[in-house]
Amino acid sequence: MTEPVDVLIVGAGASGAAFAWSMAETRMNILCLEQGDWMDPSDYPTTGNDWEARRFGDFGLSPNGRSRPEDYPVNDDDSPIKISNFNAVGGSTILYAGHFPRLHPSDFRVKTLDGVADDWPFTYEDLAPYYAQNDQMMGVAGLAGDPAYPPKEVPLPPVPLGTVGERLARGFNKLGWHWWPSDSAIATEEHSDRAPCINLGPCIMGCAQGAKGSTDVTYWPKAVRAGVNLRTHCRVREITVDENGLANGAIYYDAEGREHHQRAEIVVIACNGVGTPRLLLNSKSKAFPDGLANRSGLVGRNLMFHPYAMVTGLFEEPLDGRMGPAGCCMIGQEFYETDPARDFLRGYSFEITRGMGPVGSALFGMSQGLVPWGSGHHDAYAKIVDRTAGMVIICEDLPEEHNTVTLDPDLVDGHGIPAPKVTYRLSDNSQKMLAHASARGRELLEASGAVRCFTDAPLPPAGWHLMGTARMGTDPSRSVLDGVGRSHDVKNLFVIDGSVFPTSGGVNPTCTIQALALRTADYIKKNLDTLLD
Amino acid sequence: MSTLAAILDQIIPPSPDGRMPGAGALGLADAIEEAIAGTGGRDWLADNLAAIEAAAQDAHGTSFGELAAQDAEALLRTVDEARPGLVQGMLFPLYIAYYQHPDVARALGHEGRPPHPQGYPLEKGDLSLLDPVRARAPLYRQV
Repeated sequence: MTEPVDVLIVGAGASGAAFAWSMAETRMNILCLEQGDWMDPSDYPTTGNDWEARRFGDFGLSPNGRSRPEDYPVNDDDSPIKISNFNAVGGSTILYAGHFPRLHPSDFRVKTLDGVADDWPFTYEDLAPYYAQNDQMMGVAGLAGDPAYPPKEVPLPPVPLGTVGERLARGFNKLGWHWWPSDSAIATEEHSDRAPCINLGPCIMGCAQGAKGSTDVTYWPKAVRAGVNLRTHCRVREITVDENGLANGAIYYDAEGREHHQRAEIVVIACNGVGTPRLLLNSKSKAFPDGLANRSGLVGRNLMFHPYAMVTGLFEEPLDGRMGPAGCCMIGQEFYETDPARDFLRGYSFEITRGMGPVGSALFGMSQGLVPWGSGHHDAYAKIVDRTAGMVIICEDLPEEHNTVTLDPDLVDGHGIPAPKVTYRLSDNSQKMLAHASARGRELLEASGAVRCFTDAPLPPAGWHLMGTARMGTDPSRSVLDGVGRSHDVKNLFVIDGSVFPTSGGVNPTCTIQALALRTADYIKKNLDTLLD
Repeated sequence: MSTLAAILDQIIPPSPDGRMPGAGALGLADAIEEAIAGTGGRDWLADNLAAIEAAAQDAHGTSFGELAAQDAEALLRTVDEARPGLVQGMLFPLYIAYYQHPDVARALGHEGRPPHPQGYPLEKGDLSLLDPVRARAPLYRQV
């Protein structure tokens, strides 16, 4: 059970899966430890009439509210943005929307172009081949020719616009703003043994059809067939080091709560921007008294979310917003790049999110005071149901050292392991960007025919994108990892999740996280002979 | 009809045209009671049901469930004013239970079934709407 392996991966989510698949061709002995289990798509919410209710229960976004046995608690009381994640084979891709936009070339040159934050230690062009490889593996739908990006191919045709998309497209065109069908990790046609999308709606509660590219249906089946050992219900407590300061394995608890020490030649951490710093900070030793790979003191610092605004429009005519991939309809990037005329740096993306189901419409009507109880209920409800469309607006967050993931002094998980504590403040730049974005969002909805608009910013439960807490860089005093995700302090320790981002960009990070994981795997494969010299 | 079912029928009454069912007649009382009890509100609910019954007896000399619809809604509003949060405390579980019910979905013109496995047809949309976007120069900054 605990015989030494060549490569130990901690975490079977977006990046762990991509990395494992890529490394499998080496025929090395590769083991992945995952605290969750394989999901059963036949139990996903859309298979029952109570599908909307389950987002308040076992398919909720917050690990604190969801409290599955696989979850660990997160103290996010000191943050206006709350943590959203999922713990299973596939990780948070089980619940993500599948929105798959790449970073822009300028996102890799923030310091050079805008004088803030840091440049990435490589360029868009360096990452582009891995983006393309990942697009194929995840089955990305979209449309080539987007003027917001350098030329790129897209494997599958775009998700349908529906009446919501067409209406918003006309609004974008009226204003002369950019829009494009979203790059989406959603199989719009049969792709690599995956059934095509049938427009179930709430991708963010798991895809019962298997069309959404969560890594339990994309990378993992291929990686396991190629010989990778994926061990579930194994929660890692700490990474261990030898007398030379090299990582030599991990201590974990199995499904029965038994403690094991798994030895390994190379350790790869893929636990997301909160789980990874938690694990590193929990891995204290004589050589690393402040946590593993933390001689810079930057493990857990520079936490970035994407502050979100949500703008919802109410329309007079019926729309089809309860159908189709909820989070992926179209993207608008008119305000993505820095404009010196604005009072903030960097920018944001509009992501058109279709509408609501019948329960969501009722709860929205209740929360906005639009639907009374009693004799006026049905008339008021009829003016809302099937008549909403809107967007989330994803704003770039800049790194600030005072935004942190630390270890909570009291809170522990089910195995007694100290839980993470998040401390985060919205910057002045983010607040100005959110205000600008919210106003432009309302302008867009009004141009599209909305009769009323409703704004929520920052959107509290939008802590989906967890970045920056083990950042890459060339200077060991200013970064935790080098340009391939290897610890400056521990040469056989790699990090491959969103922790590594020096800056966040203004788009969903998953395709970049996976492209980075593939790039790190490529580096290791090409340098195996000299990796530990 | 139980007191709770009669209350639910006032919060979401049947529509005048008979198309939408009342929440009480739909048989949701047990589910609402269970949901409220599940969040620690069993005593709160029992106390409020007793208060409403007492008010019905005081005002009309009969049980709440026997009142005409107009009288029942007026009385429920009076008690709700005196006991803030009474109705509000039922809305969340009630709206979920009511609007996920297949009969209600069908009355709304929806399918009254889970999304999976049939799914839904959706128009691909008119991609010629992209023509003005395609005509633009690159938006991304050259680096």
